[in-house]
This record gives sequence, C-alpha cells and structure tokens, in this order.
Amino acid sequence: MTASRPSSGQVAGAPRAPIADLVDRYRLLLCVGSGGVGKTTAAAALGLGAARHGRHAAVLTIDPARRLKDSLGIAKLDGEPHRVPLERLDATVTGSLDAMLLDAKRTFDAIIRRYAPSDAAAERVLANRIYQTISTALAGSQEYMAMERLHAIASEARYDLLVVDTPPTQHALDFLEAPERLTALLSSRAAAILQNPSSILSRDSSRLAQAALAAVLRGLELFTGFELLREVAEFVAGIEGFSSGFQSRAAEVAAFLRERDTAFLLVTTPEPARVGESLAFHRELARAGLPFGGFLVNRVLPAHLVDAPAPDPDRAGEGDAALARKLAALHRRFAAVAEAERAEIARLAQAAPGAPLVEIPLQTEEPTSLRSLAHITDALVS
Amino acid sequence: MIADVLQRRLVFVTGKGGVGKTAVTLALALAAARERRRVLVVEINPYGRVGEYLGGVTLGPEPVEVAPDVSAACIVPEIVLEDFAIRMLRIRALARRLVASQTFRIVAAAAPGIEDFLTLDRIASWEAARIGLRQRRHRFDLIVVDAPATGHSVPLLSTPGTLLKLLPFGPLAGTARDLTLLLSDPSKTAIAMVTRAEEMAVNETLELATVLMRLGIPLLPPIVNAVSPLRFTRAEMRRLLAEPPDLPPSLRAHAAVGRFGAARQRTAEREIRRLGHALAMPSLRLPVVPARAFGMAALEQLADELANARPGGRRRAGGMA
Repeated sequence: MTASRPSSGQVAGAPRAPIADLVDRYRLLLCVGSGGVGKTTAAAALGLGAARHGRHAAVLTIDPARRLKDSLGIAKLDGEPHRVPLERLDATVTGSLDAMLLDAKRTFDAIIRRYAPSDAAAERVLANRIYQTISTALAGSQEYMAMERLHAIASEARYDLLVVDTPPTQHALDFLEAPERLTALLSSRAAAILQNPSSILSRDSSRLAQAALAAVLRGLELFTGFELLREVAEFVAGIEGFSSGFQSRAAEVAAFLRERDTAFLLVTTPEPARVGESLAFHRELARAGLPFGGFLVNRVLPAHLVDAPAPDPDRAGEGDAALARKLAALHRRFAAVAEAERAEIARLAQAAPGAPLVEIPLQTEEPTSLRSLAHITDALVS
Repeated sequence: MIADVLQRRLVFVTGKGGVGKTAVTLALALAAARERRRVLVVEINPYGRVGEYLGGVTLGPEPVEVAPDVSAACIVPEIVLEDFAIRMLRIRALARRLVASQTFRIVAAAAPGIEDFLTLDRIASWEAARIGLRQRRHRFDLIVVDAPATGHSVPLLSTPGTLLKLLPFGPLAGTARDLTLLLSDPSKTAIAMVTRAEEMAVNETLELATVLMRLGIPLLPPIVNAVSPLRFTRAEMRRLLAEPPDLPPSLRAHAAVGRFGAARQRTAEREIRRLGHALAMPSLRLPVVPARAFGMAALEQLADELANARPGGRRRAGGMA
C-alpha cells in the first residue's frame, strides 16, 4: 500500500484503522456487491466516518431507499444535495456529509439537451417512445447515467470524497459496460441498421428474409401497441448528429472511473455464497483494469462474544441450569459461526493480499437512525 | 405448509435479495417430491445458483432430472425471444439469425415486458404439458419457480395484466388472458414470499404483499428464513437484558453472548409479530442452516422442516441447537 495523505482529523501517532485509509486516500469510493449485503448501510457508514475524519463528503445513491433517508436523518433525498444533521450526533464534527440521489432519467434528458443541434431536435427525441424506454429500461442505461451524473458532481470539486451506493448487480460491471452498449446503439453503424432493419439479415437479404423481419417487427408492434419501426426511425433520425458528442463523453466517464484516487469497494457478508460472488467481482474488476480499494465485510459476528470458554451448565445453580444450557448452546453456535466466518474472510484476504479489509460487526438492530448508524461507524473506526 | 403447496400447480418463490429464495425453492421441490409429486424447478435469473446448490449441475432451457422426481430448467432470454420469433415466422433458422443480431436485441429491449411475458408463457406451457397414454397425466405435478428478487418479480407477475389492458384484442391477448387466469387462480397458483426476521426484509415483504393482493395473485403464508432455533423464555430475556444482567457469578462471563442472543431474538420476534399482524396471516419459520455445509444435505434438512412446519407454530417443543 502506498503512503496516504494526512488528514485534518488524524491524531499524530495513533494507529490507523483501515477505514481511515479508505476515506483519506480516495476522492471517489464506489460500493458494489450483490443484493442484500448492505451496500447502502456501508456507504452511509463510510460517509459518516469521513465526515468525522474532517472531510467534506457526500453519499450518492441510485436507489431512493427509504432506509438511507432514515439512517441519515434527512427528510428528503432527491437530485439536490441535502446536508446530514451531524450536529445532532456530535457538535465537534469538523467535516460534513451530504446525501443525494443520482437521478438517471433526468441526467439522460440533460445530455440529450446538451448535444442536440437545436431545442426542437431535443424535444423530438425526448418525446420519442423508443428514447423513453431506452433511457429507463435498456439494461445498464440507468447505471451509466448515474456514472455520468457522478462525473459532473466530481468535476465541480465541491467535495473531498464521494461515496456511491450502486444498485445490486449480479454482474459487477453492468454499469461499466453500459456506455459500450449505448454507444453501440448510437454509433452510425447501428443507426444505419435501425434505419434499414432488413440489413440485420444482410448476408441473404432476400425477399424472404425481409418478409421475416417485417413479420417479427409486426409482432413486436402488436405487443407494444405502437409503431415500433416508425418510432425507431424517428429516434435514429433525432439523435443523428449528436451521437459523436455523446460518445466522447462516454469515453471520458470510462476514464474517470479509472483515475488514481478512485476505488471500488466490494461489499459482502461472510456467507460462502456471497464471498464466492465477491471473489468473482474482484476478478472482474482486475480484468477490466479498475482500481480495487478493498473489501467491506458486513454483518460479521463479533468474535469477542466467544472469547471466554463456554459456560459449564453443571456448575450453574439449580434454578439457572436451563439458562446455562441455552447459553452454552448459544456459545457453541456463535463459536462455530465465528470460525466459519473467519475462514470466509481469509478467502477474501487471500484473493487480495495487502488490500484493506474492513469488518462491519453484526448489529442487534438494523440502522434506522443517525445514532444507530454512528454505532456502525464507531465499530469501523475503533 | 407443504400441504398448501401440494394443492397448487405453480408456486413462485420471491423475496428481498439474499434472504434465501433459491434454498427455499429447492427445499419445497424436495419436500413435494417426497410426496410423490413430479416437480419442475424453474430458474429465471441467468446468474442463478440452482445448479450450484444441486452439486454443480448446468441447467438448460429444457427440463432435465436433477434428483428423483425433481427436474430443473432455466429461462434463457435468447431462447424465449427465439420462441417468439418462431411463433411469428414459423422458420427456425431465420428466427435464430434474427435473434442473434444486436439490433434485434435493442429493438426487443425497447418493447418493455416482452421477456417477462415470454418467460411466463414458457412456464405456463410446462404447466399445461401432458404425457402418457391419451395425454392423461400432467408432465409435472408442481412447478416451483425461483423467481427474481421483489423488485423484478412484481413487473414479471403484472406483465399479462398490463398487456391485457393495453391490447384487449389481437393475437397476444388470448395468451395474456390465459396467463392472468392462471396467475390469479388460487387452486393452481400461489406466491411463497421468503423473508428474514429483520426490519428491512419485513418492510419489503409487506410492500410486496400489498402489490400482489392488488394484482389478485394468491399468497401462501410467508416463510421467515434463517430463524435462530434457540429461544430464551421471557423470564430469561428479562434477566439477560437487565442492567446489569441478572446472572449468577458462574454465568457472568457469558453475559455478552446471552445479551447479544437475547437482543437478536427480541428483534426477530418483534419483526415476525409485525409481519403476522400486517398480513393477518401466520408465518412459517425455517431454522438457520450452517452456510458452509450448504448442499443437498442442508436442502433435505430444510425440506424436513417444511414438511413438518405449521404456520405460526413451532415445529417441536424445546428445539435446541
């Protein structure tokens, strides 16, 4: 690991917790992982940790999860930044934390407006139904637009650190492949095909093939209830001329995700299935040449619970025998779980020797307030 | 619980990400197979884990037997689109070429819901499949679908209804009507919602239940997965959670374990109660299974639990870890 920047909140000589490294070293942290592992909580806890470390941070989410609003104690979560009331927690916090939503549809609309040759051309595209479905439904376009918006926020340099809560993906790189998918659609070749759909079957563009395509498209039109072909042709005509601007923009965003002070954090739980998925994500990141920042292992059973030897039910008094037996059973089970979790965490450590690995202890309640979120941040820092 | 399932022909298993949908799907299938039902497990997620849980089987678009009386298949988006193209064209080779082209995929993506519609249609065709002399027997007695997480299962299950509203006539309306009837028929179809005794998972289950009731799709009692089998009595909880804990010297070193366990149990019981009250329906609890041992043996164990479980009740008295 390379030396990290000193932080304003850093006490000289104090041992550095791995979270301190993460929030001091990077300007952009992207939390990725499978559904249900706690990315939202991890992102919020990191943001809070950064603010307590004296940094001006923002947590950005794609999914308007109610829990993020609750756990950050903010009334509203939308496309504008909202300040988290940290003073309620601790009056001595020197940093700050904002939260905002990365609104994909709005971002896509803004891009169309920016690159369209005229206002009228922009309005035509925005009203087109193919555009409307592509801008919201085409797999990856949401994620891509979120990255685009993120790029814009990062360029403003208003924050020291951006922490991004990404949507659950089975496929870690969906949102990175999205620009390719979109530019493929908007590139002149694909556009040409869309204007003359029979060229799909170019190798034998016989009359039979053209009739075949027409039949299928008719089927799709019946399904969707609108004139698909006409709308496609309109859409392609509408975006012609500004797709090159869009493409260079997509390339910029792709490069921005590979910058030196950007890192992807893999959020996982210590369950074998989730760890397996995280290891696959880790390989994907390496293959794509994306910077890996470390593992955040959520819901780890606090090992100190089973530090003492298991209770001996025989030594408990008569009235406590039943309770002693249950405590012994619970102790045994926790010990077995802790051991299994250690083995899973070791698999992660082995896959990325030397990389930060932060454990978030299992809580007895999910964080639904700023105070309970602070408990998690405390557990990360100490 | 299993009796509820055995009366149906088609059960969709859904819930929040990570709650254990796949394990419950397979446990239901195994439990039904023990009752001499021929079961088909359908996986919708292209990155699903059904094959892995079964010991490394690769699933394909056609059902293959994976255990006695249990077959499994997965829905492949390219194949269902090809089905659609074949239905329109009646020429397989052309349909293949068309579906393989990127542009076709983009145009198909612009037709929202088509993959969902075709997925349901394929499942319905397995439901309708018959075998034997004069086609007297169903090919499968029960189909258990490892459905996507809540966020995608709702659009999946509402597709036929939406389409029917949009296009009450035309060649697909008949299929859409059949699918709506199948999905809302309580003698055939039901949804098994899997959840955990945690606040967010219960919230999501309640939101899902509201939507499904509005769609008129029948619900089975919700399954609360991974519940700790160890239970403290109320008096024990009071003693453990007291400040300071009310424990004899011989047990004081174990206060932390006990308090942690008791606090988790309190949260879990509160969430199970909240789920039951809101749905006016008792839930069914499945015990936590050590994840490291996950495989056929663990699935059989879960199948035992499902076979014996009664909603709202404990499977047996004094069950201890």
